[in-house]
Amino acid sequence: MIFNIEKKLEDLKKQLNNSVDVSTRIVKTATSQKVGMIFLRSMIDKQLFLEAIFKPISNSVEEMDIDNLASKFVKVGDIQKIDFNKACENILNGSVVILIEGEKKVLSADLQKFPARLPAEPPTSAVIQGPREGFVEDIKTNITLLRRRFYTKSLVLKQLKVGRYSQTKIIISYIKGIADKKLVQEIIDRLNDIDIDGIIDSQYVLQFLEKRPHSLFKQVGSIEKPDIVASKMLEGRVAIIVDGSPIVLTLPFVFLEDIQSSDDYYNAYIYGGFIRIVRIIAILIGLLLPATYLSLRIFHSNVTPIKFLVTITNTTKGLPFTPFFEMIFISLLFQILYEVSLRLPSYLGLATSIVGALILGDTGVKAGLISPPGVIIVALAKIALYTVPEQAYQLTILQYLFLFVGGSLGMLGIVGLVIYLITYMASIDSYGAPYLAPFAPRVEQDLKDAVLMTNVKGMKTRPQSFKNKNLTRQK
Amino acid sequence: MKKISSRQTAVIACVLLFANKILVLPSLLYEYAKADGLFVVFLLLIAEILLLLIFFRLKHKYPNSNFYEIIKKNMGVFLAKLSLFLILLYLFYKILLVYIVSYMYFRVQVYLNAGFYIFVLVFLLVCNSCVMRGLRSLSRCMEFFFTFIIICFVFCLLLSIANFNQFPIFFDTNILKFVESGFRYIFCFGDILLLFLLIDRIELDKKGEKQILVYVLTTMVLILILYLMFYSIFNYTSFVHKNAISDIITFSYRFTDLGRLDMVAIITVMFLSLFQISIALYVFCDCFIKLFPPLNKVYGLITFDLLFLTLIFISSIDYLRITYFGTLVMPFFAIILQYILPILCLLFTIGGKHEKNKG
Repeated sequence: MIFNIEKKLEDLKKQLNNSVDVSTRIVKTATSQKVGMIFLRSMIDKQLFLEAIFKPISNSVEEMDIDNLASKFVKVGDIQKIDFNKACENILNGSVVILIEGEKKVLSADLQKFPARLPAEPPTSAVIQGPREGFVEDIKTNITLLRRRFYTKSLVLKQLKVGRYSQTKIIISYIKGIADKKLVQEIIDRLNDIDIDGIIDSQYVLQFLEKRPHSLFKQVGSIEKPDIVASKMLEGRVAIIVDGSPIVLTLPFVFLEDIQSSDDYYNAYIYGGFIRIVRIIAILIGLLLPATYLSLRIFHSNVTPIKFLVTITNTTKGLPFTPFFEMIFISLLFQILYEVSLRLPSYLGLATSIVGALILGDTGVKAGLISPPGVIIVALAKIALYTVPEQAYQLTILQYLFLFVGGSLGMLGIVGLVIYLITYMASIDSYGAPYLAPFAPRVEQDLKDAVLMTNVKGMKTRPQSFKNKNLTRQK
Repeated sequence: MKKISSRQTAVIACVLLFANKILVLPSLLYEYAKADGLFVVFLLLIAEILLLLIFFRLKHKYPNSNFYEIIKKNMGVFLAKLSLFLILLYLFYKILLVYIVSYMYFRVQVYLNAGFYIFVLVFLLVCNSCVMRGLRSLSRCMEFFFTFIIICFVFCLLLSIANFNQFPIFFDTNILKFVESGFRYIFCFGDILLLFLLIDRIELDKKGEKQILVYVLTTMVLILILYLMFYSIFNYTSFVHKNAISDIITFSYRFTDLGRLDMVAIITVMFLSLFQISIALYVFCDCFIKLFPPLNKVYGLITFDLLFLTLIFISSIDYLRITYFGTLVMPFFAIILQYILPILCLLFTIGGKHEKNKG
């Protein structure tokens, strides 16, 4: 029973370490009843607090108990009666806790509000046609963005809190009747097993969800757009929304997912298939072109077409570097310029690009330090990787690996590395989905939306590469 | 136990079917049987199909047992162990043969000035890692590249049409030479035996059996077309051309402007030889584990690597020695292991109860 409001408020303040943003108010009503309020200024909507809580309580002329306080005076949607010992937790989550003399329980009204940006088109997932909104850092907004795509009671949103200090909210979202129960439980178990001081971004969670944490390959989907997440959920995948992160995670994940883009579905499906082939070719160019060029120069000049060989010989004559160091040098140069242009403000980034492309590249060639074919090949390979931006970082590492193998072991080394990587990828299993599905193992039904795709009308079943509760998509 | 699908089994069977047949064998057969080498290959490929049918029957009868257990049940422990030991030696030779033939091929075609360390390094690293990843990953990888390999192979055959000279002259040799050529090079066939050794790792149904047969028959047809094209293009000089799949494209003036199109054949052979060695090495390790039960596949790999490196570096084994040894000793080995052992297995399937399928 609460008898001394001042003391109770003081206790709560102490529990919150007398932080600067803790505010307490005591209101004496017309009936001389004391009502105490405590909240964090930095976490609530102050205007709403004044209009919906403070004014109605201070203007009241009748005796209040916790029930009529909740029903008559506090004009906030989300209120709950809680035990005093849970008050602190609610305050930290942006609630105003109201204490009334003589009551056992306290009232908690959710007024959480903090600065948040509006949903905008994510820079990495821009589309020509189709929805342009993207997730933001606020979990409530993200839930709304998802919820408005499913006006159904089958949409399930389960909340967990992870992080000893951060107590970050994580929402596990799936469609009941489509997603496999075992998959959902496995994900929940993995998240419950996380014992860390704080979760700052969804990438932290991602690393706990990966079954091979030291692998170079991405094993969890990371998406910035609600329409893509919705379509993945309709396929039977589970979405994981982390408070404070605009990136939503999806599971299971297969390698092919990053080659697919939402644009493919919003345009003519024939063009979608064509552009996917272009992306695959771009990946192959990005990974294999510099390594092949290097191996042709070092080991296999006898198989190089004669005209091409003459051009290369003429342009590389008198270079001070060996072919291997020349390619590594140009690749590193590109990497440095990329890193600089990414971090610098846009006006400086433009200047850096000019310095990089014109001065370093052109002067380097004229000075006889690097060769024009080397510059063209590295530039093409580096740009090509960004046709699949989600995999660009992993592929960049592989590009260097291929370059090293191509330069030291030639074509056989490149083929060997390709086999090694594909065998490795084939051994990855993402929550029941083989990483290279639907190609290895071959899943005939899923080939309809693999590289060459059919139209939406033709996709009658959900993916069979992983478990689904309901395979039928259309009748 | 993680099993492989019937499509993956079909892919493995096809890759094994290509083994040792698309590079040096056409010219070696020509030395004995002239263009009738084509019929030798045809008959021995038919034998492979029969082996495959025996495999299906055995799988039907013993869906859960491995090859060692099947022999043990029917012939006792000693003969089972002896068979496995002989298979171990046989596989070691086969791997060595594929390696040496590929090495010679790459050396002549693309690595003119490279040291042989490159080949040893790549083959050992890739094949060891494939074995360590397991059969399922390896078979998935083979499945992933299979379409690419077949497209490349067909591409080579299509390009060779431009070089077509005249139909080869058949029946230009006597029956003795014909049989002799088949006997001498029988060790280049019979790789379906490896499927017997993977019998418990394969998931098979009636549809799967048909699928495997279709794949194997298609591969067989492709191999026969290669032989036909090879003998048609080179005729009397066939014995000189030791790299069949490459040579049918290379010796053409029509494509010189496009560059060396035999690069397609070279890459195909690279994939095929690495896959063939990997799968044979996997089976080698599997036999090793069954022969020496407390040891795992890491020991099998170490044993193989040490033996392989010793032979390569110390004995300086080369192409001539290995084929000479092959024609001298291996036919007897091959007849026992490739044909007599599976026929005995066929006899095991007659009568008796069928094992219940646990899968």
